[in-house]
Amino acid sequence: METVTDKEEIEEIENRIALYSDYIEDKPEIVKKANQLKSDKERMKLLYKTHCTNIRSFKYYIRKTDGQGHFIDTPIYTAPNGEQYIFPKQNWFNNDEIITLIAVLLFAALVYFMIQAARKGKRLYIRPIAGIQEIDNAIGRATEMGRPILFVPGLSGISDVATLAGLAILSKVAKKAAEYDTRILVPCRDFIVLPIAQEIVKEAHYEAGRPDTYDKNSVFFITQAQFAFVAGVNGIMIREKTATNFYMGMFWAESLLMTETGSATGAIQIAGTDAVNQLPFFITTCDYTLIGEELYAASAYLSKQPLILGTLKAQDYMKLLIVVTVVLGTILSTVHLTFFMNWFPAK
Amino acid sequence: MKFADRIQKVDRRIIYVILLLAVVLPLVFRLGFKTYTTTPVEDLYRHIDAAAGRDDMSILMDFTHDPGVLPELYPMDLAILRHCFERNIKVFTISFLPQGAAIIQMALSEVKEDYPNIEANVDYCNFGFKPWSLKLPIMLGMGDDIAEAVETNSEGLKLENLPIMQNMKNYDNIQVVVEISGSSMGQFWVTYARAKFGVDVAVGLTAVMAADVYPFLQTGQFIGSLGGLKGAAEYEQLVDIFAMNGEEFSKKKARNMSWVEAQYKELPELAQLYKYSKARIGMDAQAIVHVLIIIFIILGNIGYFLDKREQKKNM
Amino acid sequence: MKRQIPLMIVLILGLLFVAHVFIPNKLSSDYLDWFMKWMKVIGPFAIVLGVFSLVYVHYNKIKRKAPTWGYSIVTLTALVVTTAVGFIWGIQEGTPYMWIFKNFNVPLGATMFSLLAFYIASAAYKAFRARSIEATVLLVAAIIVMLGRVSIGQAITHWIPDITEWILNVPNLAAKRGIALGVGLGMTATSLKIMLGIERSYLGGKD
Repeated sequence: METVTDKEEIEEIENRIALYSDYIEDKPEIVKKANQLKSDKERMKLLYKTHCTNIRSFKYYIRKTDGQGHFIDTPIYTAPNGEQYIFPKQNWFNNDEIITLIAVLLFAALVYFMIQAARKGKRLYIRPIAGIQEIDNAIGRATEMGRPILFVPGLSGISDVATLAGLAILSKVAKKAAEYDTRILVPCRDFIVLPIAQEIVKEAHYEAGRPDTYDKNSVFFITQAQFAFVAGVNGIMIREKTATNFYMGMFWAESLLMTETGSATGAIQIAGTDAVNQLPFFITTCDYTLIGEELYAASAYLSKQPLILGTLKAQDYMKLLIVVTVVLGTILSTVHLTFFMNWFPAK
Repeated sequence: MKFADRIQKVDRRIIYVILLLAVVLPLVFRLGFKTYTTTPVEDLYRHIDAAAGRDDMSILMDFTHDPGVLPELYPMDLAILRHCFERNIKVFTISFLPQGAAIIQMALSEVKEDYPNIEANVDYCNFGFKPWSLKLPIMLGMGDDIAEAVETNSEGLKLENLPIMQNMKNYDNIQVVVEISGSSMGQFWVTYARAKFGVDVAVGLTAVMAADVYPFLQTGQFIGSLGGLKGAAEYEQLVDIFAMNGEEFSKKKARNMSWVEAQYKELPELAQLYKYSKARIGMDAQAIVHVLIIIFIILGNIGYFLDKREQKKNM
Repeated sequence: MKRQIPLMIVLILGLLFVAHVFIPNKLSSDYLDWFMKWMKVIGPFAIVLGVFSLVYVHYNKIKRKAPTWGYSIVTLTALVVTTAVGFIWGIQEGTPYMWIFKNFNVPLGATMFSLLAFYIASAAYKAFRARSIEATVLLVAAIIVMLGRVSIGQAITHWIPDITEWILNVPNLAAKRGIALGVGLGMTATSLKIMLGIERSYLGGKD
């Protein structure tokens, strides 16, 4: 190391040392504390923790306004210990959700009891739904005509429950189609739905004892673009002359474009969707339509297992409970008793 | 063939040709029907306008739509962007469809050419295309930290370093999320962003989907909505008569047709451009087509009743 | 075992997600962050699957010279050209990608969508009949709403837009709520069935 001998230079360095020590003195408490720590990692940890605390600390005051631009402020709240900054405490339960929790528990209990009842052999009545009963006939028709079946599992992704319901129906339809040795075409718009649909159709063929007839190319991806997908599906209907078309899942503005083409080609069409807005289009152009919850119920109807029938019955009771709550709430609010309404948080 | 039979069995191609003429003619020869504004559109305008001039408030526009629905939705894109640029409102744009990214580019460049002072990443920031599968992580993540959830803008620049992000942290800095789509994407924003973080959500939808939003409007889960070309036309008009003329929004004035017409006379040149009045021109065609369909329905029913009478006579 | 492990994963993750709704603690939001990272990873892989399926199906069609195989060439060419152009020149305004977008995607998509108007017109003409009292009510409501949504309605009388708003806000809303209620319960029940492993057709195969 070189030793500085020049007087001026020494003076400059001393000045600088003085400047930096002043700076260190002036530093916030936390930096000094951090400097005393040994390792870099510990220092960063302390600083980060303080940073996180600081950005989440707030001062509070109340502003009252008449909605016309006039307002009055209270002084900033000071805690008994003189502290103005308040740091929120983490909760373990979100009190706004208490009604949701009660409803969830109630529903789960209902499902449990209904499944138990069904297992014990209690006969549960469920309303017959024409659209579901016709599924078998529709597949049979395609078989007789020797033409393929088209199954569109909706345009939404896998996180949409309607898509899952559509896929559940696909597994039943594909199995029947495999038994009758009828080709089934499944165009997909979502690439995560694609492998799942492929797997479902493949398994359905295995289950029906016809693994040889499974064609991987019959379940395919077209495009993510909404209307280009429709163009693709319509093309398939016209070229392949599908005898039966199923639309099960989530549909949007494109629904009428597909079903009108299907009706023009003379196919039997069964649709099921929970997209309320598309129901009028499906009802006018399809032979049978599963409305809203019927889509979710369809796989239960088709499998006729007590487990699944139990959940269906539980749904009915839960719906009754909700309707009673709604009616009660309406009556109470009409006579200005709002306590009941206030139990339910608005979101 | 009898008259009743003949109207009952009109070839659908004849209907198509008549419809085509009803659409094309009003577009060529402008009729200039007036536009009347409705509450959901006015609410959205007022809500967006409240962020004017603030650097800690922005609106987030989600362009999750296809080119297929552009005729209906593109005028909305332009009208809202023009409103923001005119009133100095910060804008974020995002799309969860790859095609949406191109639409954002188109819309931004089209409006930006009229506002040379507006700068990218200062006055607006285009997040660009984010994969559909990241929709949930991004929607939820923005509640904590926008820069962390979105990561980069469309040019691949880190969000946290951009000037526009200086005062933007999370949904608290988003005045309203405007979802413009031909699907029910707006409901995702309500379910995930609004329910959890309380951000306001509004939608712009195709007319086929427009009736879907009423339950959400009534509960306040959507603070406003633009329904189809009609909604776009209304928004265009509001931007013209208020933002472009430097007027503060007032519902009373918006509903007062003679005042509105007076405002139209004072419009700056910029507001009179064709691209900014597309929806209103389209509404002329739509009005004619609606009347035409009503005539179709009435004709069809006349045929049906004549047919029924005939059958009764023959019995 | 092949079936039990996925079902366990579904159950555990599902329960954790339910818990997340009720627990606002940092632990819970950390869990969500961790989960979201996984989702981010899965997305890109699925895209590859989709593109692979598209190429595979059309390549086979061309190879077998299946009927209308010419369209498959168009599809594959469009796929390759659009992707390549996007990679080489980027997707900003003024690039060839944007040119393709504006001159192919936009008009083609708009054409498909505009068919809707024609279909609705012919459906209205052919199917909308006052067959019963309900159908008549529906018909009258439809006419009022159609007039109310355009300026002609307002020009006739201001009542038409007012009644339109009422129809959309009251009877339309009531019906929608009714259906939405059932849908909500159906979704909850389906999710519950999936979580508890009662409904497992999404895994493929045996019930």
